[in-house]
Amino acid sequence: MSIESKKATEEFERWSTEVKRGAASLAILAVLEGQTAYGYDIVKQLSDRVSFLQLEQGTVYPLLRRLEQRELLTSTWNYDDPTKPKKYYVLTSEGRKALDMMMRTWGTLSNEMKQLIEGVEP
Amino acid sequence: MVDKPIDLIEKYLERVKVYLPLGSEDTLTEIRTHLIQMAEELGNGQVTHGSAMLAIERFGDPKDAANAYSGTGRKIGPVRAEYATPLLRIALLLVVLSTVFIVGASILSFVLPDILGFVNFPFSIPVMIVMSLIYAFLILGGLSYLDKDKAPTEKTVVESILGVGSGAFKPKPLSDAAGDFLFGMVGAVVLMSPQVQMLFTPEALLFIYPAVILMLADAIKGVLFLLAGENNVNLLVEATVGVFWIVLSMFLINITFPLTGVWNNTNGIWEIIPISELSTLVPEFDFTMTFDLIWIGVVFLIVITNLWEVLVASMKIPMYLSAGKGWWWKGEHGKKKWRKYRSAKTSSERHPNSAGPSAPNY
Repeated sequence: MSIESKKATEEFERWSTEVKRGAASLAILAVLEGQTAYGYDIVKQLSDRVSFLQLEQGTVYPLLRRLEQRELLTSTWNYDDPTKPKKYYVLTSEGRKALDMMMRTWGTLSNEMKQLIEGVEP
Repeated sequence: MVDKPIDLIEKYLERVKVYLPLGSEDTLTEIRTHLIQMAEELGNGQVTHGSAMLAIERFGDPKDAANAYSGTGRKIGPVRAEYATPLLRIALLLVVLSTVFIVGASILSFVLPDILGFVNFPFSIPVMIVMSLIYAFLILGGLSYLDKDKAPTEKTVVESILGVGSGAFKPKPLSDAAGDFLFGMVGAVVLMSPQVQMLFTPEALLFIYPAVILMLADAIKGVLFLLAGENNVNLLVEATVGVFWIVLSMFLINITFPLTGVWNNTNGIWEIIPISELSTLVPEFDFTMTFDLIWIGVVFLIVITNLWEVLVASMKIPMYLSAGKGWWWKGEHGKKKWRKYRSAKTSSERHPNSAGPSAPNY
C-alpha cells in the first residue's frame, strides 16, 4: 500500500469512527422507539438492521448505560430466567424528545450531504 | 482439568471485573447474560467450549470492555487507562490499611520506627503509599512480560494482583453477620454474670457495662446485616458502634490485665485460682508482664478491626449515596465465591429503592 493510500485509509477510518460514534446513540434510541428491549436483543437488532455501524458488542452496553445515566432511558431487571437476568431498557419522555431532534437533524444532514456530494466526481 | 464452557465466561468476567470500578455488579450481570446468549446462539442452543470462546472474542478484550463502561480515556496521567481503576483501588486499600495501623498504634501509644527520615505519623502515611506504589509499578512491569502469551479466557498474573483491592470491600457475609450476633449476645450475657464479674479487677469492672452495651449493639448490628444485608443504615450503625469501641479502647489500654483469677473445678468444687498464684509456681517467669502484653494485644485488635470497619463504611456510604441508593434497601451479603445463579425474582418483587439487581455477588 502506498503512503498516500495509507494516509487516505487512516483518514477514512478516523472519519468512519466519528460518524459511527455519533450515529450509535441515535440508532439505539431508534431501536427502542415503541418497544422495550434488553441488551442482547438491542445488539442483535442493530447488527441485523444497521450494517454500517458494525458496533463492537462491547460498546453497545456502555452506550446504553450512558444514555440511562443521562435519563434518556430507564431500565428494569427481569429475573424470569435466573441464569440470564435481563436488563430491559425503555425510552423516557426526554429520550423521545432527543430522538425526535436527532432524527430531524440527521434527515437534514443526510439530505444536504447528498446534494453536496452529488456534484462530486467519484 | 478442563474448564466447563460456562467457566470460560466466568473467568472472562473476572478479568473484566478487575478493571471496573467498585459497585459494578449490574455491568457484570449484563455482560454475563449477553455472553451466555451469544454462546447459546453460536452453539445452536448449547454453550460449548467453542461457542463460549467465540462469544468472548467477539465481546473484545476485557480491558477495553471495562474501559468502555467506565468511560476512561487511553491514559490517565502517566498510567494506562485500564490500570487506573485497579491501581486506585489498591492505593485506596493501602491508605486504609496504613491509616488503620498507624492510627491504631498511635492510640495505643506504640512507637513506630521512622520511615526514610520522616518522623512518624502523619508523615509516614504518604511515604508508605508512594513507596508501595513504586514497588507495585516495578512488579507489574515485570509480571506483564510473563503474561504476554496468555489466552483470552485466562486470568493473567497482573490481573490477579490488580484484583486484590476488589475483594477487600465485599459486603459482610451471612456467616460474619451471624457471628456478630452470636458473639455479641454470648459476650454480653457472660459479662453480666456475677460469677464472671467476680474475676475482674475493680478498675476493669468500671468498664464492664459499657462493654456489655457495645456487645449488645454488635448483636443488633449482626441482626441488621442478617436481615437486610449491606446498606447505608447498617454501615452507619457499624461505623458508630466501631467508633464507640475505639473510644472504650482508649480507656481500656490504661488499665492492667483485667482478670484476677480463673474458675477451676476440683473434685466437684468450683473455686477461683488467683493469677497471682502462678508466680509462686514459676517464680522466674514474669506473669504480670506477659498478661499485660496479652491485654495490649487484645485492645490493639479491637482498635484495628473497628477502625477498619469505620473507614470502609466511611468510603462505602458516600459511594452508595452517589449511586443514588439512598439509605435503606435490601442489600447483598458477601460470599466466599460469587454465586453463579440466583433464584428467580422479577423486578417487581424487588424493593423499589434497591439500586440495580441483586445479581450474582461479585
